[in-house]
Formats: sequence, C-alpha cells, structure tokens
Amino acid sequence: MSNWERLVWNQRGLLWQGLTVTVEICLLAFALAIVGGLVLCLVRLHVRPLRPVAVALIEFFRATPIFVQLMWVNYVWPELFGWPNSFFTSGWVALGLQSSGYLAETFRAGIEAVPRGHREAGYSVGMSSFQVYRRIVLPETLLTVAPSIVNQFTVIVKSSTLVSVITVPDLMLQAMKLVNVWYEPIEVLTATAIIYIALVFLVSSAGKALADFHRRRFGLDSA
Amino acid sequence: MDAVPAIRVVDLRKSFGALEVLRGVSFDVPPGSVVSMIGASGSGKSTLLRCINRLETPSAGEVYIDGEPMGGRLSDISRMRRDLGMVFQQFNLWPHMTVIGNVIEAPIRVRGMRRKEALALAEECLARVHLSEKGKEYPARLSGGQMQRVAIARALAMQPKAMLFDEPTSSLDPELTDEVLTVMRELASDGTTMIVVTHEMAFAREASDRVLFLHNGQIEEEGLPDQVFGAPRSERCRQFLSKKLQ
Amino acid sequence: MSDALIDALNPALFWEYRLVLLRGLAFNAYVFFAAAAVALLIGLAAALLRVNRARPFRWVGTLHVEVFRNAPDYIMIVWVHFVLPLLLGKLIGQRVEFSPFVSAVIALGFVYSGYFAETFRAGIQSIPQGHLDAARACGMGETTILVRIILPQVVRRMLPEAVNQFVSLFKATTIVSLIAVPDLMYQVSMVTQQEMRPLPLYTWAALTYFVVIYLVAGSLRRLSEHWRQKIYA
Repeated sequence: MSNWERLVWNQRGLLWQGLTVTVEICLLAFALAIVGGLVLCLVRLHVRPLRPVAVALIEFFRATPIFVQLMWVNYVWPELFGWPNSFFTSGWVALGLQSSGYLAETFRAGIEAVPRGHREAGYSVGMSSFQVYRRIVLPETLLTVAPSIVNQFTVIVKSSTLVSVITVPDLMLQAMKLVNVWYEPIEVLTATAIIYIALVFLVSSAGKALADFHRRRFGLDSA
Repeated sequence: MDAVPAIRVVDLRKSFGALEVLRGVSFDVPPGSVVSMIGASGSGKSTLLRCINRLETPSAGEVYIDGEPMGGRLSDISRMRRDLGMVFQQFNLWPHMTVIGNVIEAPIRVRGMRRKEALALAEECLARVHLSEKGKEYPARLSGGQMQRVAIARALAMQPKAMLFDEPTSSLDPELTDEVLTVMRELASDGTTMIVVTHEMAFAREASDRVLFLHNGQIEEEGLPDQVFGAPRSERCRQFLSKKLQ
Repeated sequence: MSDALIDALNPALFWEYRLVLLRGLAFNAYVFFAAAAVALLIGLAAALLRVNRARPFRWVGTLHVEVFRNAPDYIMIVWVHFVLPLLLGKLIGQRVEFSPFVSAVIALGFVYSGYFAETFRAGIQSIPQGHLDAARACGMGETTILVRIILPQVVRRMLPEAVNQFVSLFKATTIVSLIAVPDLMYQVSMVTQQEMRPLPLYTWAALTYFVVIYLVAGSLRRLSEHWRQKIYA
C-alpha cells in the first residue's frame, strides 16, 4: 500500500469532515461580511453623526492582519463581551469582520460610481430617495462590484486555514492532525494544498462565469 | 378665456456659489403648447429646465405647475414630479432593466399601477415612439436614437402634464437625431405640452409655438418662431443665429 | 465588562516588554522585505512568460499564477517548511532543513509572486501598442524596449495596485509565528504564556499592527500618488 493510499485516501472521511467545517465557516463569514459591509457602508454614507465610528471600524478591520484579528476575537472578546463562546464562532466572526471592512469600501466605490443621471431619471418620474436607492442604485452597484465580492469570498476561503490555530476542526487541522500522528507530511500536506487550491480556483471560476453571464445578459460586454 | 398655464415661471434666479446662472427669468407655458429654448452653452437653459422639476433648487423665484407652487417637502416635490416628464441628454436608461422594465417602473412604483395595466400602458408608449418590438431588449443593445426614444416612452408612461426635454439630441450621432425629432414632432402635433432645450434650430423653428432665446441667465428675445428666427430684435440673438445657421 | 475593557486597554504590560516585542516587529519587517524581493522578481518573470508570443511559455506562466494566487498562505508556509526539505533531501540524497525564516520567505515570496505577476501583466498589456511600434520603428532591440519603455510605464501604472499587494504581504507576515519565526505575534504568545494576561497583550498587538499598517499604507499611497501625478501623463 502506497503512502498516498494509506495516508490520504484511507483518511478521506476525516479530510471530508474537515472540508465541510471549512465550507460552513466560510459561508457564515461571507454572510457576515456582506451584511456588515453593507451596514458599515450605508452608515458611513448616510448617517452623519455615526460616520467617524463607521470609518474607524472600516479602517480597523482592513488594516489589522487577519491572524491578529482572529487571536483578538478569540481571546479578548469573550472577556470583554462574554461572547463568542466557541472557537468555531470566533473563527467565522473574525473572518467576516475583516472582509466586511473591505466590502464596505467596495460597496462605497460601487455606489458612488452609479451615474448621477440614473438617479435623476428616477427622481424626475417621482421616485423617492428610498425607491431610487432600492431599485436603481443598489442593483447597479451589485452589477459593478460582483467580481470584487467573489474575490473577497476567495480571500475568506484562503484565510480560513488559520482557524485551525484556534483548534477549529477544519480541513487544515485534520491535515495537521494526520501529519502529527503519522510523521509523514509529504502526501497529506501536498494533497491538502491541492484541495485548497482547487477549492479557491473553483470559487473564483464560478464567480467569474456568473459575472460574465450577467454582463452578457444585460448587454454590457463590449459590443 | 385664460386657462391656467401648465407651467409658470416667475422671476427665477439661481446661483452656484458666486456664479449667477439665472438672473430673473419669467415666462408661461400654456397647456398644449411647445416652447423651445435656445441659446449659447452656459446661458442657463438646462439649469432653468432643471429648476422646473426641482433637480436644481432655485435661489429665488417661483415655479408653478398647473397653478401649484413647486417646492416644499420632498414628498410634495416627488408628487409634483409625477406630472412632469423629463428626457435627458444622456438618456439615463437603467441598464439592469429591459426596455419595458424601464417604462413600467415608475407607473408601478410611483403611481401604484398594477403590473398588467402598466404593461399595457408601456406597450402604447413604446408604440408611440415606434419601438414596439424592442420591449425585451436591454438598453446596452440599443442605438443612441433608440435609447432616447425609450427614454421618451418612459417619461410618457407617467402621463405627465408637461414634458421637459434637456438637449435630447445633443449626444446623438447626426444620422440618429432624425428619429428622435420625428417622435418629438408627433408629440407636439398631438397636443403635448413641451419645453424643449435644443440646438436643433430647424425643430425650434418649425415645431414650436414660442421660442425663448437665453443669454447670460436672462431671456433676451422671445416670441413666435418666425419672428425670433426671421426678425430678431436683440443683437445678441441675431449673432447667435447667424453663427448657428452657418 | 468595563473592568475587562480597562484591563484590555492597559498598555503597561505591553510597554514593559516593548524591546522584545519591537524586535518581533522587526522580524515582520525582515520577512516582508525578503519576501517582497522574491515576489517581485519571480512575479515579473511570470508576467513576462504570460505575455510571451510562444504558447508553452504562456501556459507555464498561467499555471504559476493560478497555482500561487489561489493557494492559502498558511498551507504554503507549512508545506515549504515541512515537505519541501524532504523532497529536496530525497532528490540530492542528503538531509535538508530550512530555517523557519527561509521557509517563510520562500513561501510568501512565491504566493505573492502570483499576485504581482497579474499586476505586472495588466500593466504591460495596458501600454498602447503605438508606443512599442514607435520604439521598434527606431530600431530599438527587444531588451532595450523592455527596460526603457515597458518597465518604467508599467511601474507608474501599477503602483497603486502594487502598494496594495505590499500592504497585504506585510499583513501576511503575521502568520510566520506559526512556524516559530520570532515575529511580534510569536513574542506576544510567548509573553502571554508567561504572564497569563492575553487581554492587554493581544489588544495592544492588534492596535500596534493597525497603527503601523494604517500609517505606512497611507503614506505609501500618498507618496505614490504624488510621484505618479508628477510624471504620469
């Protein structure tokens, strides 16, 4: 029996378990990133008294390295806020907050890029600001920033490897466990690296395909 | 018998900081008439039009839509804007909606029309601009002239009391302006109340009931087309026309 | 919660160990500069491969970019540190070991070479064909064109994006503590084990990184904008 069979194929159940945990964490973090990013962006743009708070949070989440944020959320927050109460939660909260900072800026750029005339066309037929925002500004923004959002999701997937450090049983941790048990790192780590690379590649390709499909549908490809 | 003017502008002034763009403009637009506004760039024509539907807020003066003063709370302004249709130089069609989507959006969202009614109304409006077959297309696939005609249909769908045209053909290639001007002439002869800011002198002369010549934020010359174009009293108007019609 | 907050924001402990911690931060910088150099060189090479006329070269370049751009930093660092020495050892028949510093530089250098390669490629392809035609028409050789026409313009065009990549790379150096490179996070975890007070230590580590990165990134961006405005047509 080759090492590949013994160490990787026979352990595929464990690795698969790790992969599902990875996917779970990434999806939760992504959801938080989008909601958090949108809230931060809209507060920054429209709630004047809270603007400095929003800007400070955005800059903090963006400038602090993900590993540092992870440690901070995991070790400090439970003492400060009594929450998170599990490593798993610390994981996706930290990942989500970091990306929400980036997405807040992404949304802002997208919103500011919507041509003023499109808004005015809405106002001139009697639409309210809220209607203009909901029906015109936000949909157009989404079209423009979709690639950046997909990119941020790949960043989340790549950063998720770090939650293994706080003992969340993701794919990385399972791989490291196997390495520590068998002392044969070559096959396990190479396989794990390939799985992660393939996963990220899949996500970014799917995202690109989705974005291209929509651009063609709306006729926005260079005609 | 004096009908209430569809639009009445009284002593309108507008400054952007230190720059005075409108210096006291007054005129009436009777219902069913077509008023063309001509003048050099920077004379304040577009600003004047945008003050009428409050996309710009005047520094002083009043605008009356069908007798009601334009202004007040945002909700009042939005309500009155329903009765004014605006066609922009840059078309401003919403790229993420189909042609028909663009046209039914306001009737549904603003007037609360049911979707079926709105679709029927949209079909009518698209037929009026001769674009019935383009309903399912997205704006990015249309030519400039087609996009502008859709924009006109979109404004018509709100069944406004007056239509405001802000240099509707200035962004179009020359061979595409005719299709838009044709639609505008048809609207005029149907009795639509229109204010048209334009550089298309032929249209201004042939399709309007009154012509206003603006210079430096004031009305320098106004009257019947034949009079303004044929025998202008103002020297500046004469110069402007001779340059334009070269 | 307010007691905890006061404890978390207390800089005393952080200050007490400041020399040790500062030396850790210096290690972040060492890894950063070394990895950046590797990433720039390899990234440029990969970009040139990607725009080469010959298809096999393009294919190799694309493979390089796709593999390293999509690879998580952590798994790459672990792989370079634990697997690569074994593979090399088998190859040359001798035991090979990488110091943690070397592993970190190689891993981060290669991963970020993927990002820089894309940045360079976009810059190279954004240069109008006309500039190149004019150079060729004067009889300039391909190398001269590369050095005198393409590279200076690429640098100017891609500077903002490159600054972003540099900032990312610096942030990535924080994970080198996981293979025992004595950077700031490593020192923080050491001190935490000794003093058993994670609150102020991790909070101030976060604040330190935030301030350093925010200030440096901000000034880098302003400097590069200023430089670009001066020369870029």
